[in-house]
Amino acid sequence: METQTKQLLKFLVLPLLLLTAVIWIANFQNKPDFLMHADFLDVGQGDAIFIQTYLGNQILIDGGPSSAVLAELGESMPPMDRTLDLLILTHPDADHVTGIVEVMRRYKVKKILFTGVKVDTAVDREFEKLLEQNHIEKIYAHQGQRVWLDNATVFDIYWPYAQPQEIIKATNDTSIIGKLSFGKTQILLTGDATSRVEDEILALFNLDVDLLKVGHHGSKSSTSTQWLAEVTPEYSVIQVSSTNTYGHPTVEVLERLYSSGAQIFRTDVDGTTRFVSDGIFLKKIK
Amino acid sequence: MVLSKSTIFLVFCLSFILGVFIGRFINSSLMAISAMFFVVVATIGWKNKLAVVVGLAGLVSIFGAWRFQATYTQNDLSQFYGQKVSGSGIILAEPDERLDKTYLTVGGLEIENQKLSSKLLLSVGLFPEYEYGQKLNFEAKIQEPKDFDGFSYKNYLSRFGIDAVAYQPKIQIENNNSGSWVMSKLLKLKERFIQNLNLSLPEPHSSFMGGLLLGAKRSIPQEILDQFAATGTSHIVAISGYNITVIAAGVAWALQQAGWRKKYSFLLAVVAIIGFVFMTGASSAVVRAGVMGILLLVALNIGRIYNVNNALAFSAMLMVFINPQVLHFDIGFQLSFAALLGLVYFTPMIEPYFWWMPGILQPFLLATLSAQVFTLPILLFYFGAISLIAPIINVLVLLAVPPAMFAGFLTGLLGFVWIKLAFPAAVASWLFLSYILKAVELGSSLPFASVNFTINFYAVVAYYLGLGLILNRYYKKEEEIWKPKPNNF
Repeated sequence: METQTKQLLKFLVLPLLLLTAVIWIANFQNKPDFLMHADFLDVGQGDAIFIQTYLGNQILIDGGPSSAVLAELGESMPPMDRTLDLLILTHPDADHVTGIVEVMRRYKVKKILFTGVKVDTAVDREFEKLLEQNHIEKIYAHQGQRVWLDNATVFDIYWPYAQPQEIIKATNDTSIIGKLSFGKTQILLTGDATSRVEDEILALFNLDVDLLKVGHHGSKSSTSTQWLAEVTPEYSVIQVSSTNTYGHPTVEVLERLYSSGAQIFRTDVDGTTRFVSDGIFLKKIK
Repeated sequence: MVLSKSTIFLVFCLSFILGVFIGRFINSSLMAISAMFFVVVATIGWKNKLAVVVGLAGLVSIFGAWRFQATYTQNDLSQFYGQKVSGSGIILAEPDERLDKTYLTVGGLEIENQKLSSKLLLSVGLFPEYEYGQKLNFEAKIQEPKDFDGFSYKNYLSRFGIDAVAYQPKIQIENNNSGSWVMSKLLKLKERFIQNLNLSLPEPHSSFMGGLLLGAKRSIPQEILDQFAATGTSHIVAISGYNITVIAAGVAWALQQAGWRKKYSFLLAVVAIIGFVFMTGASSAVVRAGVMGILLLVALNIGRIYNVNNALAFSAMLMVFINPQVLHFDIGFQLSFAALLGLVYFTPMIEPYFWWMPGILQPFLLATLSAQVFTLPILLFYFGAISLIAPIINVLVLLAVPPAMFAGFLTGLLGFVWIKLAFPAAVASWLFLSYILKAVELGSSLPFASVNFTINFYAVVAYYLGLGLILNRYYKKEEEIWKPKPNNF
């Protein structure tokens, strides 16, 4: 009798207790902390940004060039959380969409915001296939659109102007550009758009923000001086790999950023760079 | 000197291995001369058993040397080095998917109407995806594998029979069913299992679990792999004899619970290992781990040291015979065999000194220490680094491996029924894996976790000779204690 109780304790009660504890911890971690989180993930030569709004909605903007984004998400999200509320794909180049495909395979994705631009590559075909297979709600981005990420966080879309239908070679200039605002905190997301696009929207919108995601991994064809004069960022983040062959980030862009007075963070030097905001102040955390 | 049959057998096995070892350093004329010499020794000393054995052992060695050279120099892709060619071939192994690229092992090559026996490694992007058994038409620049940082990539690949690489080739799929049907079904099943893990666990946990359970070399971030290396725990990430013995022990335990007798459950555990090796697609690393696992089980179950000697020597001989290059170029083979020898011979020697350890920790510490002592020179020779905290971290981590594997196995299995059903098991495996990852991370961040120190080849030989002498003395003494004393009535 006594040994039976012991057995029961050992093989049933103890594991169940452990499990309960874990689920409680997971649940506790799941609760939003009423701060907005913006994590610029170190995924090599490509963009991937994880946003958690103050009410806990989770958004991934681009996925980087590999499945490295998965381990980064594993760290940014609660361990047993397998759902993403929104994916944003700025444009379908391999260094932005490859990781998105890996994410769509493993996470339950509710909605996706993208341009609908098609490029005829293997990874993009896989992306389209998964979109249909998983019945993800599609939202096509266009200028002037406002997407509510929760009741106090919005994403205003400044580009692309209209939805391009045909297959396009210069996909970088179809990138979604938009401002993410939570209270007084504003973040400008730029994809890989070049100065040609920057010039077009300069006059149209109030671009003043606290944090700028530097366009096209710090390529010199983006982030012009006029652009920076309007944006006047306090912080700037360049998502780039230390072993890239394009020479990103370029000295020109670094100089422009430096003289604009922005503090520069680079994922190749600083690794994953995390910011939090309470709606008034934005600060970098470790 | 008495030469029993089992001793002669042992001598032959060892001389074959020695021959393969020497084969890398001698040329064919030297081989021919020594072959003649050994024939003469055997013939002149025909009446003397010792002379015959020495002569024949010498011939066996030379056969080993010849066998090594025959496989090493066989390379019919070298004629195409640096050329752009078009050809066709079949994907012969599960595509090796990394974080940002995939490697395809292509065999059955036909380049410019020439059938080749060497294999080619194609490096392709993550998309489109390929699978085992597809026949490909490709256009590619064939390149000689480059060596870097003193690491011979060419020798590394050569033991898989791969003699050339090609980056970003143009590929067209001709058909999907040129491989073995059974193999492709097994790989599909394995893929589904891994997918179940991926759907239930975050990264890097799910990759880690895939490595732990199935030896799937998937995308574990380099940073974490470095941490494992610094704490001397790399062996648990890739599949090793340890993981296999955990599986076998699990099977044996379950069978005993179900009322099977111990003898049969041991046999079935061996069968389970063989089944497992095939289930996972029988990649060379898993086969090796399987052999090591079975050997360990056998060694621990046969009490008599002579039989153990022969079993170990014979299986080493067999593995080296099948692929002589593993002896020189497969560091994994060298490490796991050294570790196995340590577990079998060294553990009983140091056991009496660790009576004070708590029962649950003792076997882990003994195993770790023995394996460390035996693998130390190899690690120093190849990697030039020694992990000082390896014993502690290993004990802490190895303790959590069996429950982690069990929970992960349940996760994958229940996932076949319904992925939500696997949730509790997934939570449990996440817990154990996190513990392991955290322990390794903390361990690697300690100062002096890993110290750089390199030794040369002669030091390695001297170390093992010394170790051999110590063991020899120990087992001689043991024998005397246990020898039946003559009766003096």
